[in-house]
This record gives sequence, C-alpha cells and structure tokens, in this order.
Amino acid sequence: MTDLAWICLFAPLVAAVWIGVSPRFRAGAGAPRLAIATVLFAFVCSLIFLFSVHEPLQSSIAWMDLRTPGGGIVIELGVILDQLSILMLLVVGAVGSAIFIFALGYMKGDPSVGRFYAKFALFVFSMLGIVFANNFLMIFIFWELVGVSSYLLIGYYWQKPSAVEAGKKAFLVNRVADFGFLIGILMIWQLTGSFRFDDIQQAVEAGALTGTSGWTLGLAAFLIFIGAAGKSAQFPFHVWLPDAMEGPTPVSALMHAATMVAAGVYMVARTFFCFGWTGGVSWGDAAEVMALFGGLTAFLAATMALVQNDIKKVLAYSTLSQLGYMVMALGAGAYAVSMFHLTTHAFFKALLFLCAGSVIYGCHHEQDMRRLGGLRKKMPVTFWTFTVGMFALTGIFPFAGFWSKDLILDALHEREFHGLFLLSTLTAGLTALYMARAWFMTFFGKYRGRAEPHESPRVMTGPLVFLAICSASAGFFYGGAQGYLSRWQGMVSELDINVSIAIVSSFVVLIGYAAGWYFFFRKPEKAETVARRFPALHRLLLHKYYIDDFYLWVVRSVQQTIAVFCRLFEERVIVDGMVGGTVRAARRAGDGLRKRFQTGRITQYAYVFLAGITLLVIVMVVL
Amino acid sequence: MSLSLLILLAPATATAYLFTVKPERKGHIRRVAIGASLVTLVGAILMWTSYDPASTEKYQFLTEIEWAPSLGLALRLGADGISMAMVLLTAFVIFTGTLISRAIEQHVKEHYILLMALVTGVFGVFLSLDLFFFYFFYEMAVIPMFLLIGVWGSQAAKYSKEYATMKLTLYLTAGAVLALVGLLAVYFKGSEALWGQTVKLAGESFTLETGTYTFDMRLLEQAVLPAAFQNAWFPVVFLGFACIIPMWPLHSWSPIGHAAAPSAVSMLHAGVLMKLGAYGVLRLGYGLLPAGAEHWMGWVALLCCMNIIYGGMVAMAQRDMKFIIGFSSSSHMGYVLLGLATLGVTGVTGAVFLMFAHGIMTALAFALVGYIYDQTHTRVIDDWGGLMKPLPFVGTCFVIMAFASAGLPGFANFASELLVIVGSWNAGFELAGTGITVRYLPTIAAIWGLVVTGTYMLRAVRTAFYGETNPRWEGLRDARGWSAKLPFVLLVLVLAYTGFFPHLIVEPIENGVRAVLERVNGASALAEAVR
Repeated sequence: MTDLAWICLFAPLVAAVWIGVSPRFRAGAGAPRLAIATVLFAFVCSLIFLFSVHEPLQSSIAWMDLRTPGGGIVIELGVILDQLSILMLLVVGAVGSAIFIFALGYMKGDPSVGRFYAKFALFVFSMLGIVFANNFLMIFIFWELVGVSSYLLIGYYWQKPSAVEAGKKAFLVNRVADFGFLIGILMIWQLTGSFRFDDIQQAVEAGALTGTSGWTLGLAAFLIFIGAAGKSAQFPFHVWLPDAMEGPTPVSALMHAATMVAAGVYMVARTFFCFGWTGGVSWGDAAEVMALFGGLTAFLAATMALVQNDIKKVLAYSTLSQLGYMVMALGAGAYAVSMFHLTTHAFFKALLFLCAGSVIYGCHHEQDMRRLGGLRKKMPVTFWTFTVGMFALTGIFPFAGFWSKDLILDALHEREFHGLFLLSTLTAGLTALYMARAWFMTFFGKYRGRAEPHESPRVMTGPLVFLAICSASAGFFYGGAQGYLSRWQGMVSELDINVSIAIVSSFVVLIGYAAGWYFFFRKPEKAETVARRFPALHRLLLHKYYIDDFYLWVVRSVQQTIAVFCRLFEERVIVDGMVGGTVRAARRAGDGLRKRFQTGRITQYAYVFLAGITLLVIVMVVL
Repeated sequence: MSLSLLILLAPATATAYLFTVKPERKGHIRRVAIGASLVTLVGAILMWTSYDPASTEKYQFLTEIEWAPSLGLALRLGADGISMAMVLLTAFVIFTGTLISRAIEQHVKEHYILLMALVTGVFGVFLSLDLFFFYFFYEMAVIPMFLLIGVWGSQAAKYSKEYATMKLTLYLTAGAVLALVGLLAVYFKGSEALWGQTVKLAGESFTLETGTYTFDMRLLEQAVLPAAFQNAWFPVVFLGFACIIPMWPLHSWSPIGHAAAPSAVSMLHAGVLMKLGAYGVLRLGYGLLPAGAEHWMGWVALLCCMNIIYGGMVAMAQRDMKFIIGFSSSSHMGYVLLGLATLGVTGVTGAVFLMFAHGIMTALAFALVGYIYDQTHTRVIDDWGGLMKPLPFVGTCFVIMAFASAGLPGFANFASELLVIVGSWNAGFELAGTGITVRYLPTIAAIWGLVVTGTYMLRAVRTAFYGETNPRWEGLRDARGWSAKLPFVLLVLVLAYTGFFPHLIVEPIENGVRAVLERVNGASALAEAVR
C-alpha cells in the first residue's frame, strides 16, 4: 500500500517535469491529459486506501543520513497512510480531478495551456507531499514547494504586473510565517529528539516533556501554528489570499479555496499532540490563542467580504472566514470536526469558485459584479449549482455546511468559548448577507455588462454538477465521517448536532438572507444610504482595516530604509572609510617617506646613516 | 597516474600548449580549452564515483613527487571527501565557463591561457597535501584573475575595472600572506613537535628525524601543538582566509570584483575562488590548529550573522544584477561560516555541501547575467523588464536559479542550508574570552536570511523578467540549440540532482568532515596537556 502512495505522490511530478522539458509535448493535447490522469490516479488511490487501509501504515527512506553509532541526525522522507491522510487525499483527489477537467474548458484558447498544466501538476505533487508526510521536515519541504507552485500559478499571467506582484506577496508572506514554523520545528525537535510525528507523539505521551516549562512548550506550539497561519491565511497573515485571486480561476478554486489553504488546518490536526493536554503537560495557552486568531479572522474577513465588488474577491474573503472557523475548531480541540468542515468546505467552495469561473468565462472575462446581473436565465446550470454552493456555505439545512458549521459551534459551546461562540454565530449571519449580495448582484436584476453572456460548455458544467451533488449530500455523511475519523487518534470526543444551537444559528442565517434580499434586491439604493450613514466604517472596510497599507509601509519605508542605510554604510564606511582610509594612509606614509627621507641631499643621508648606526650599537650593547 | 594528477595536469598542459598556438586559430584554442576542462570534469566525476567512504585512509588518490627533500618539500596530491566535492565543483564551473566564453573576441589566446592557468591553480589548492604547494597554487590562481578582470572586465557601477581588479588582488594577496605567516609558524613548530615521534603516513609508520622539517600536511596534522600556540596563531590563519571567504567586514572587494569580471571569470570567482577561503579554514585552520579552532570559532558564529543579514540587506538596495548576486554570495557564505562554526558533523557537512551548491548556483547566475549583458549591454534590472518574452529559456533558467538561491527544496542549496540550520540549532557558541555562550541567535538570523533572500531574488525576477516587455529587447536572441543551452542545462541538472539525491554527495563529504572533526572536538583539552 505504501508503495502505491509513493507512486501516487511522484506521478504528478513526473508529469510536470515531462511537460516542462519537452516543448513539443507541452504544445500538444497530451499535456493536459497526462496531468489530469495523474490527479485522477490520486483520486482512485484515495478510494483504494479508504476501503483497504485500516491500521496506520508508514514507510520512510533516509534522505540525508548523518547517523553514527552514537547519535547524529537523519533527515527522512516518509509517507503515512492513516484515516487523516486518506481523508485529505480524497479531498485533493476528488476536488482536484473536477477542477483539472473544468480547466480544460476554462483555459481553452490559451496558447501556453501546457505550461499551466505543468505548474498545476507540480502543485498537486507538492500538496500530496504535505498530505503524506510523516515527519516535520518533510512537511516543511513540501510546504515550501506548495509556496513556490502557488507563486508560479498566481503569477501565471506574467505580463500583468499586478499578478506577478500578488504572487510575490503570497510567497513572501508565507516565507515570513515559515520563519516561525521552522523555529517551531527545531524547538520541538530539541525537546523530543525527533522530527517524526509518531516518535514525537510517543515522547509526549510518555512524559518526556514533564519538567519543561509551559512557556517554552506554548511558544513551540504557537510557532507551529504560525506556520499554519501563513498557509491557511489567518490574521495577521491573511493579506496574501485576496490578492492571490489574480491567478486563473481554476487555480483559485483548487489552491486558494479547497486544498492548499487548508494545509495549515491539516497540519495542525496532524500535530494535535502539540496543542492539547497529553503526557501530563500543558502546551501553554497555544490552543486558546489559536482559537482566538481563528475567530478574529472569521469575523474580520466576513465584514470585508461585504464591500467587495469582484465576485472572486467575495469568495476569497469568504474562504478566509471559513478557514477561521476551522482554526477555531482546532483551538477548541475538535480536530475531527475541523477536518470535516475542511472536507465539506473544499467541495462547496471549489464549486462556488468554479461557478464564478463559469460566470467569468461566460461573460468574456468580466468579474466585477456591478457589470454582471440577470444571469439566472442565461446560465441556468451555473445559477443552480451556485445556489447549491451558497446554501451549503451559509449552512442551510440539509446542505453540507449546515452540519459541519453546526458541529463547530457545538464544539465552541462545549469548550465554553462563549465569546467566540457568539462571534461565530454572528459571522454566520454575515456570511448569509454577503453571499446573498453576491447572488442577487450576479444572477438577478438586469444584465449590466456589454458582451453577450452564454452558458459554459459541458466540460465545465459537468464538474459543477459533480461538486454540487457532493456539496448537497456530504453533510449526511457526518456520522460516517466521524466514525471513520474516530478510528484516528486525534479524535477527542464525538459530537452530535445540538438541535437548539442549530435552530439559533439557522435563525441568524435567515436574518442575514432577509437583510441581503432587502438591501440588494428589493431596495438596492438603501445599501448606499447605509454606507453613507457610516462613512468611517465603510472606508475602514474598503481599505481592509488598513492592514495591507500598514504592511506596505513596513516594506516600503522601514525595510527599504534599512536596506538603503546598509548600502550607504557599505559605500561610505566600509569602502570609502575603512578600505579607502587604509589606502590613503598607505599613500600618505609613502609620500611622507619620500619627501622627508628621499630628498637627494647627501648630508641628510649621512645623518640618517649615522643615527641608524648609533641606534643599532645602542641596541646591541643594551641587549 | 592517479586521478588527482590527471585533473591537475589537464589544464596545466593546455596552458603550456596554448602558448605555442597561433593567436588566429581561435576555434582551435577554444576547443583545446573545452577539451581540457572536459578531461577534468570526467576525472572529477570518476573521483566522485570511485571515492571510497569505507577506506581507513583519510586521503585517497595519492601522488607524491619529490621536489626539495632538504626542505621537506614535495608535490603531494590527494583528496578526501571535502576536496573531492570542491574538485567536482571546480570541474563543473570551468567546463561550463569555457563553454560560455564564446563572447570573448579580443585576445582570445591570452584569455584561455590565463583561464587554464587560473583553474590549474584552483585544482592545485584543493588537491595539495603540501603546505608549500597549497600556497604556490593559490598564488597561481590569483595572478591570472588580476589580468583577466583588468583586461577583459567591464565597468562596475561607479568603479572602474582597474579599481576592481587592484582591490581584489590586494585583498587576496594580503589575505594569503597573512595566512602564509601562520602556516610557516605551523611548519616550524609542527615539525619540531614531531621530531622523533612515530606517526602513521599513508598506512605505514613514519618517523621524522630530529632537525628536519616537513611541509607535509598529513604529518603536520598529527602534531599536537600547545594550546597557547594554537590560540595565538589560529586567528592569523583564519583572518587570512576570511579575506577570501569573504567574511564581513573584509568583503568589500568581492561584489565589485564579481561585477567587473567577464562572465567566465565571475563564475570561477564567485563559484570557486571564494570557496578556497572556506576550504583553507577547514583544511589548514581546523586540520593544523584544531584547538585554536575550538577556541575561537564561537565568535565567527556571531560575525557570520552580519554576512547573512547585512549582505542580504545591501543586496536589497542594489540595482545592478551582478551586484545583487555579489552581495547575495557574501550573504550565502555567511551560512557556510555558520556551518563551520558549529564544529559538529551536521553543520560542517552542511557548510561544505553548501559551498558546492552555492558554487554551482552562482556560476549559473553569472552565466545567465553574462548572456543577457552581452546583448543588452546593461545589467541594471530596471532597464531590463519583461525579458521572459524574448528569452523564455534563459528566463526560466534564471527563475530556477533565483528559487535555488532562495532555498527551494529540490535544489542542493536547500538541502545544504537545512543541514546548516539543523546543525547549528543545538550548538552552543562559546565566545572565547568572555565566558558567554550564544545559542539559537545565529540560527534564527540564518532562518530570517531565507526571508531576505526571497525578497531580493523575487524582486529582481519581477523587475527583470516579468511585466511588460521593453520594446528595446523584443529582438533579443534566446539560447538556441544544444551547444548554447548545454552549460545552463548542465548546471541546473547538477543542482537538481544533488538536491534530490543529496546523500550521493553528503556521504563522502561527511566522511571527510568526520576525520577533520575527530581532531577538533576535544582538541583544547589535549593541547592544554602539551607544553
């Protein structure tokens, strides 16, 4: 089985390299097909594992072996097959396959579609590496690779400066987060003596850390979470994700909605033993801090989504918000619930993005909702599947999001995070409001664009329908999913839908929908009035709480000032001062010697000669 | 004939032969140079594959030719895992360097004679087991460098090529002289310490007669010198080589030298010459004065943070691509110094591996910049822009280089930097004379350095290759055909191959490093006992 996992992992890389190095193959129709085949293969593998792997399996190879009989370190690559990784593989495989096929239609006519699929396959390879990794260093390696493939795909339209800039931003924000992540990994390694998850867990459970201060452990866990916060775009690292929408829509759907951004959540679930109470030690308040960051992200992102006009941006902020929910659940210790929401979210958010892609494709690359509208009739399949996705996202019974979101609220309630519980219930209402806004602006009213819209071809609507079915029905498997995940050790306690919470949250959601209907369908001019009533708040939201501006200021002013200062120091002090000074001193000494002693006057030479002799004699006599 | 002699003789013979060739036969001259480099490359690869980590001998591929027995002087050649990696690096760089030197049109004969002489010197340094010849070959590399930059170089920002080459030569010579003084002290003191002692040499017992001296490193390495002597002389040897590495604040010759040199020389210079310094520290500093190394290297861990962060910050404020790579090199050499300062197998192995990786990566960088410069006659990145369109192949190679430099997994730089980072995390750096032990701080600086590198590399890529294409550059020629692409492809492949399968090169390096460190760790205690 593990052999199959290795093949499954490396197949997309082989495809990417083959497409990359062979220009003839890259230009042909075989390139997309090969890439699609590898991701379909991953999907098939996940189904095989799902039914045949019952006990966790691992296989490792030494990548760099510096062991000696006495000690030394070894850096390993290894795959692990357990319930957690198989579930994640299923998500990547299923959503990935749908999106790869969808992209065939979406990218049609693009002259470098081969390059697109090569990069896409590279991404799948990197993502699978994270899924299969059985140790911290391997997850870090693929963490970086995912960052690079994200950079390459966001900047796919490289002639467009904003796209390149967005790719760079995504990479660098993640690099900053990885700075913390790597330090966290090193701390954990120092504490437990291993990079392997199973070794670390055993060490923790065996009490190897008793005696280590909670402060140290809390810091280590928090730094690991920083790594997750970078990939999963949690506050304050969230700024890269909305900009990442510069990439082609299938990229946004697969990487920046369904899988890559979920990697942080997956990683925390994978290393849950670093965040909870096990082995008689407390990891500080790392989990509580994590929940707080998640809650903050969920709420802030939802408010920012309210004022976006780009349909993809609305979904991007919505993704941030939903990731915040998952992180909250992690902070509450409900790893299985978080993973369940990750799964349902992957389906419905990929669906929503692909619907947006279909709209953009059908309206000739228009993605500003102010120039869309009335597409309900023109694009029926897109409209209905979008509606399913929206219901799933907002948590309408019985669509998928209802179950997973309610379980999160439940978990928060049970851990007695009352503030976060209220905040996330409120956010659920906001979610309904901004989704209703997007829905009405895009599909209702009059068409405000110029080019004639049309429904997308089968190759695109097919994946939409597949994902819509998943989004509608995935919730019913919550019992099954919990049962499946309960065999995985991270499961803390099984939760069930709490009817009273479900009623309250559904009520809030309905209020959100009603408000959306009133402000954006019934009386659109009222929305303007409200915005004008609270100009400061509106401006704050439009400027994304000035967080981006703050970072830009740090980069442009602070960092660049330091860099210029270093450069000036280099030129003035080191080159002109120290080096130039040495040169000048040498020259002056030479000049002095020439003028004082090399005068050409015989008498002076004689005096110097005499003085020298005298000095020598004195020295010889005295010594 | 051993492989080490073959590798040394191939470029030496080419140098001598090229003197006899008529200067008009440019094609022939080039082919001879490429042929000689190819021989060294094949030799180096054979050396890599036939290196035996299980051998009990520290040095393999031995050759000894008597020179001046009365002084204890002989041409002694050999290689351990460390020198093997450096020889391999040099061979790849010189082979690709001669391939991309097509653009040289003036004084072709002289150019190749000097290039071959230069590389003979570099190989000689890496393969010498004799102190005298180590120094001899080192000087043999510096003089051609002086002429190559002075004659074929170009203006580097506001500095003329004459300024650049004078500065470089003065630094390199001054550093070498400083090191020489230390090495001579070791020659006398070490030989005297060995008088009448029976030691192992090439598997056999050997006794140095009282009153005789030897330049043989293998013998001198076995002398246990007093701690006071080692602590006094290690800084001299180290500072001499630190000029070449170059360690902050002795680095200012290097970016200017890189920028002024013609492409092939930049490649050799940044790719290989800087490694001579680090190699000298490891082979002679650690090898001959182990207690001194143990005593002093803690300070180096602190200074190298300046290399890493300061070098990166200065690179961020540069606009000339060669200066960016130049300061980036000094930043990366900071990682090498950090790895060396750990005095642990993981860190030092990582440092040597990084010397290899960085050499290949920088050679690739300068080859690419040179390729573009030959057509655009500017290296200011703001003047470039959108070059991906006319130069898809070169641009792609450049992006790969940038990511390798920024530490992308899959390339050798990542694997080696990871070893340095992991190896330095647990190390305590004792600051001699203060009683303070520094922990974590240098590693944290090194990890932050990854962010800094990413920032300036991606900024350079964005400015130079992406965005709207400047209409001036629409007509640039991309590398077409196998012979034009070969040097770039070869270097990328080496980076990727050793990045994917690092154990292939880590194993022999580790073997060599272990033998060196066995004498370093605990050397102070041993040296204290000697008077």
